[in-house]
Amino acid sequence: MPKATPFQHVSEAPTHPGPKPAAKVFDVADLYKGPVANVQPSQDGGAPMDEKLRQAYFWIVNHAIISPHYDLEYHDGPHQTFTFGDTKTKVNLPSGQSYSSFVLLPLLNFAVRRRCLLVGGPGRGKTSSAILMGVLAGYPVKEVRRGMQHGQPQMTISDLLGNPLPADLVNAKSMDEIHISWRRWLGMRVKIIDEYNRIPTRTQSALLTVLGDNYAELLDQIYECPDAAWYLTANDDAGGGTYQVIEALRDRIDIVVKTLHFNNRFLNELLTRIEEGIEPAEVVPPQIIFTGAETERMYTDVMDVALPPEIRRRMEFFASQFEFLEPAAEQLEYKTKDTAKLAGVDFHLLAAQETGKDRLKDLGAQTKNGLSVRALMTVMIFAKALTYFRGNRVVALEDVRQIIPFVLHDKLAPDPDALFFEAPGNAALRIDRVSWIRRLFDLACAEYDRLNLDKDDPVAALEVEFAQGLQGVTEQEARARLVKIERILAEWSKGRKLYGHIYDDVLKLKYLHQRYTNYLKWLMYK
Amino acid sequence: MLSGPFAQILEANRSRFNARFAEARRIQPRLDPLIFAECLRSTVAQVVEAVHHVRPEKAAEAAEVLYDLSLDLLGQEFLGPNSRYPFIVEGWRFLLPRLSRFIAEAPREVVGSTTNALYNLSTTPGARPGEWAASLPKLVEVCPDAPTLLRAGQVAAWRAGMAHYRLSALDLCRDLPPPVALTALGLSPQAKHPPLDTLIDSLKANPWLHPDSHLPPPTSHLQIVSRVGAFRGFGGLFLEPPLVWPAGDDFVVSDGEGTWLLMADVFGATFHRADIKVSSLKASSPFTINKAGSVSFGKTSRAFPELANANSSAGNNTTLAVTTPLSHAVYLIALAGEER
Repeated sequence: MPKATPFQHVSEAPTHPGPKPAAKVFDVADLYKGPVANVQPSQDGGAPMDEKLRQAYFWIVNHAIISPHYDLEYHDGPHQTFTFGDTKTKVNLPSGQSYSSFVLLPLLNFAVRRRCLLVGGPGRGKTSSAILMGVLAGYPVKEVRRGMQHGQPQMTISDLLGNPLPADLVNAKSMDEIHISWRRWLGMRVKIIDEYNRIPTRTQSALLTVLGDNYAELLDQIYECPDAAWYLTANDDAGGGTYQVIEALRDRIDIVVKTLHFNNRFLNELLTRIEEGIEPAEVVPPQIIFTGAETERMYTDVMDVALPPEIRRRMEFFASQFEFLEPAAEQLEYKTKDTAKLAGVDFHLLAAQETGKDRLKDLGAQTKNGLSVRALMTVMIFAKALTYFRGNRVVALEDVRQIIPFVLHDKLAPDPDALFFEAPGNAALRIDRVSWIRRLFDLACAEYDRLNLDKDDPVAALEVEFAQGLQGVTEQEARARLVKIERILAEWSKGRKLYGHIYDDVLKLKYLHQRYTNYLKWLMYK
Repeated sequence: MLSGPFAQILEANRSRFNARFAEARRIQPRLDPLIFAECLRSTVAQVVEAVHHVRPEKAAEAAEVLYDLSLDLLGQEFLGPNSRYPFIVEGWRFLLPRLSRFIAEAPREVVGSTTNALYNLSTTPGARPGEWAASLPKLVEVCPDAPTLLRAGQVAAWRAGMAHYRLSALDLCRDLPPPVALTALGLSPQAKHPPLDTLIDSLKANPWLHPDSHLPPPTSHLQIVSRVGAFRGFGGLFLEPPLVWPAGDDFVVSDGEGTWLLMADVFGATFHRADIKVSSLKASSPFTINKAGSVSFGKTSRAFPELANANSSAGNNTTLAVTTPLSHAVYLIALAGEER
């Protein structure tokens, strides 16, 4: 069998080995398995899509990216840790298969067809990475390059979307008769917008329609785009572009990937690449290229990954920390950061009115905003994608923990004046948003454990009861449930301060109370 | 010096092809540019030209695939002068040009699958890769497309000595167009045959039945249908004379050091290393053998002097396997028509 691994070789061994399969049954199909990998069309029982995705990942890590960083750390049991310097920098040697976020996250974005922003300094491989994704989707490199939209200050909507046919402009008697020559990139399954923060504001709005609603509109003509994975790049996402990116467009970005620095120990590899004129996108092995049908199947498979209730509950607990702002309103429902923002009130003035709460412990005090529905949906989608990539079919807490900083990177705005960042050792978290969000998630999980919510969550018990439906619930039972809700609220109101998670629980209890009240009224009417 | 369509394709994409070679060499420093150039000249060019002859528009795509695969295989010493698998080298040189119609249709699938098949046949003791390679051109004439050719090739592999594929190959025959299935079984589609399903059922029931004698001949008698396995010093598997046990339709053979599953039929026998506890293996069989080497099967019996003093025997419904203390071979006895 092969001894070494040439460039075009894609690992035939399982890339994330699981338990050994049962005893082998001899099958004539094995005749065509051998040194040439993946020779069978995948729709006829070829490599499963998660295996193919991992093969693509490992090919990129081993051949295309010169110095990958393993920053998504997974551990299988005990691992070694070393501490360096005065800042006590920890170096973990992961005991499990760990990944490079710069390679993995664009690949997961490819699998779930969302919108990925690659940020980092010039020449760090943002555009190259996006082009690789286009090649993985089966497009020739030239077509990917031609389809890439380069943001520049003179970019017009016509540059972006297309032009009306000149003859139609002269002869048309109505708008319906004007045909548009749409730009080819609109029909591609991988869309790349290079330096999107250099696009003028008006053109950004046109881009928003394509990016957000998946269609383009010009002179009353509509072009429906296929589902696509988007890759946007920006040298400096913190306002360094030519134009300010409109907030709606920023909000549509699902995941942010940071390019990490080049490790100078790999300079020799760089030299070889220069001398030999090697362009990784030109030599992507065909066996890791996904057909349209395969990407469809992969997406469906990812969506089939299960998110167990206990993990979902922790995500709820984490997400509930941020929106609540007690002094923002009088009525409970409006006590949110969004209320304060819409009113244009200085956030810090309001936050300063909050008294009696532990500002270090209150995770909500670290952010200026809460999480949108879109952000929460994206967390779940990418958590499923990561789980799928790792060859599992049930999301684990660690998958959520690893993915959440990248999805919420631009969604959760830190309050740099928060007391938390003043605490010893936390100053760097003002800058390092990935570590900060991961710390937030860890702290939320620790609080969740401290409150013993896995075992003792009265709201969850009521939710389970309610989820069984109201049909057949007697008046007596409905009244008993109402009393139960009122008792919980009475108990909580005695001494507990309102924190974000309690706020959400109280609102949920109010909701359940209202549903039972209405049900009772209906029962009595009947 | 290269010329013709392949040379034009290489010229048109020179920088890309050069970069691929450079990258492959970075990882495989022993990859010799002269040897690779010779491989392209002597082997790949013929295949590309053959593809160009049948479908010129597909020649470039085929050239890309063949270039990549040849680079890959040369780097791993499956191709080239240092190859340990001469049948792969021969297959690329003489077989692939004859599959041009199918390579044009699905280059990677056909070239990759053919290479893998030649590799598997080369590494399976007792299999006959040359016979398999010779059978494919006959299939070319009757197969409408590449997937059919590849499936028919699987059936042909069974006939080329891959006994462990017998049942799944016969199942595959049911899904093939009858002329293709008959050709894959080594029969002429023009000749008279029983219905394909009947033929397949007969072949499944009796591993010693040849497809061209679809029913047991009336004069069948007990005979040694095969003698498989040998001393390791002579290229076989066994260090000591082996012992044999029944294992369903197959047999388990052990020399005390290793254990193998033996699968045998009219086209050959294959051994597969297995981790099986032999003490638990028992089965009833219509075969018996006595100390003098006389084998009985129902009312038929025959004496085999070379099997006298057999130290182990195991039978199933069609075959008796016998070993003796003086031989490293396993004798297989069955009812068969002509003496083999």
